[in-house]
Amino acid sequence: MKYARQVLRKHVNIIIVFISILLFNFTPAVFAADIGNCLLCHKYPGISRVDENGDLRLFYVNEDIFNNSVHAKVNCEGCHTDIKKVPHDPAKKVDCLIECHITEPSTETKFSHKDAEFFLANSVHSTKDKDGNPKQFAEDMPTCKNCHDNPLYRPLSFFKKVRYGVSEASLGRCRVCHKKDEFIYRFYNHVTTRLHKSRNPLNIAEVCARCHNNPEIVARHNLSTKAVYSYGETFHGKAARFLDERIPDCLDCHVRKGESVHQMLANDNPLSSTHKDNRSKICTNMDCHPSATPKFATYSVHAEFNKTQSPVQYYFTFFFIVLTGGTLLPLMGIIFLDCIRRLFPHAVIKRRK
Amino acid sequence: MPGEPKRLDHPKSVYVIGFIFKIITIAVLIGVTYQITFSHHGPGLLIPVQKKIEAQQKSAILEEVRRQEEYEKHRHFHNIVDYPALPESSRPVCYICHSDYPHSKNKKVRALLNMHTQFFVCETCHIEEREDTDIVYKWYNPFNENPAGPFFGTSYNQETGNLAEVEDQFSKIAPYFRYGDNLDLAIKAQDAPLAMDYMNVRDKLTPEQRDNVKKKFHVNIKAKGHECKACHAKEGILNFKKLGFAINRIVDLEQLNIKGMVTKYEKFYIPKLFSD
Repeated sequence: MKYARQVLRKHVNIIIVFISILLFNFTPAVFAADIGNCLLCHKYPGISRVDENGDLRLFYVNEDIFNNSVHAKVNCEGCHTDIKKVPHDPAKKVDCLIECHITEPSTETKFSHKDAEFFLANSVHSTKDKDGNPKQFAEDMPTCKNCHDNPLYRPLSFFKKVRYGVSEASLGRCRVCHKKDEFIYRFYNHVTTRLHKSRNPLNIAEVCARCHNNPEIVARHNLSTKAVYSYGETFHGKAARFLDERIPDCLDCHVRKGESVHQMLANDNPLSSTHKDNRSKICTNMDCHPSATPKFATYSVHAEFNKTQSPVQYYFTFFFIVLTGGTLLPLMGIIFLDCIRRLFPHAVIKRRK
Repeated sequence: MPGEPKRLDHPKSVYVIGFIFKIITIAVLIGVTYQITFSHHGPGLLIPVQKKIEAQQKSAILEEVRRQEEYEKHRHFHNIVDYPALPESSRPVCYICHSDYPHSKNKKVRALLNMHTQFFVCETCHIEEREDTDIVYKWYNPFNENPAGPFFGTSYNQETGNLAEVEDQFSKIAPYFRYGDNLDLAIKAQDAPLAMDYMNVRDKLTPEQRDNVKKKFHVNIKAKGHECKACHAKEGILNFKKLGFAINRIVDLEQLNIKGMVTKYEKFYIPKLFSD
């Protein structure tokens, strides 16, 4: 008996591992990213708190949504690197630029978003100026999470027509060579999501609006327009409001084709897509207005109804308001009065004596 | 011609066309008036007045709270899903002062404690038990006197392993006082007369009077709720089986799950978890 206890004690770790393997194998679903079983607590929507500074903190992670996101393959510890035990101390801010366990297949190096930092540092959104000195109001410049939430897959089906969703017929072709459905779905989702934008034009405009529609930020940085507001005034902006995906959003015009979206350049930079010498290429590209002349791009996209910013548009619009009202209102007024007389032919407004 | 009787026997279509013109006239009138007064595409004659009124009604606190909530959604990064909330009037009186996230003192478990507000009302944990009073725990739904379930949190989705989605979004476990065969709900909603009366007069009360009234509200409430093991144990306060929990969920709640983490492992992982 004593010997049995000694053996049991000696091999307790092996027994625990064995039981764990059994338990994990009988778990109804395999949580790809949740190796640390973080969802034990974080699956509950109410897991949140108001901290000592009065700031609300949310800790809920919806597993279904997460598994449908581009980070589904990254386990929790991949980003939350400081969490080593459960329950854990308050987690540190995630550094999006760390190397995670995923291997980038073209270079077979560990994956990282570090390149985005490089592009951002060379963009108009950099916190430093050309000489490497901190810009004024550098704190206004966006960091990763100012623009990004966890991007969700938006797969496309190209089978007979292009539509949103996964084409089962295409998957059948994948299965000819590839055996694991989990791999096939992930790969399909990844590739087809990347063949178009992961957000619609309205969403993209809303992201930019967080800063570019903020009057204080616009004033602080001496910007000429509340850019998303003025975009919303154009045909493009109005179509975006109707969730049209074919129309151009902020990135389509402000990022050079083939470049990282993080490398947005100032208008006065000759390399910028919106520089006056390059602007026509945006409108006349094959997917937009291929037969348009370069002059087509000379109109003020971000004109506001503002005497100082766009005096021509201001007076032109004002003239049309007056013209519309001045023409239609008297005409309609006469018809209106005539109709009343026909409806009430004997009506008289009695005057007080 | 003047003096001649007017022709009144017009076809109906004339009146229809006249009506349409009237509608267009009104629409144009409204449009032009808007363009001249409030629109940013016109001279905006009344915009300064509008801004003045908005400035008077502006609340720095409200703006800051909204900004903070929006900020947190982005900071959190993981996509947020809104879940249905009870209308203010149907919420228990506790919500006049407390929120869904009322626990903040014990830094190590405050978020976990707040998570429980999804499954039961405050009194389930904080009710003052007395020897002369028998307390029964039942599902409570402000819109349904006898909710039948299935209730959120009582079972798992077999395919995903997540908690099963249910139709009943508002039922929570609540305590009832048993008087003979009668069960009397131990909580009051905000539309109860006393609660409504308090909300009407609270701004007129002195701080001392307000404190007195609050104490009366808390007469059956204890500040420190039950320990985890009071419920997360076999033979705990809550009879999970009677409350309709699935067997595997009961096992998790009683033995393996979070409570196991915060109590069984307490000695070597988190020795002072409940000490502050």
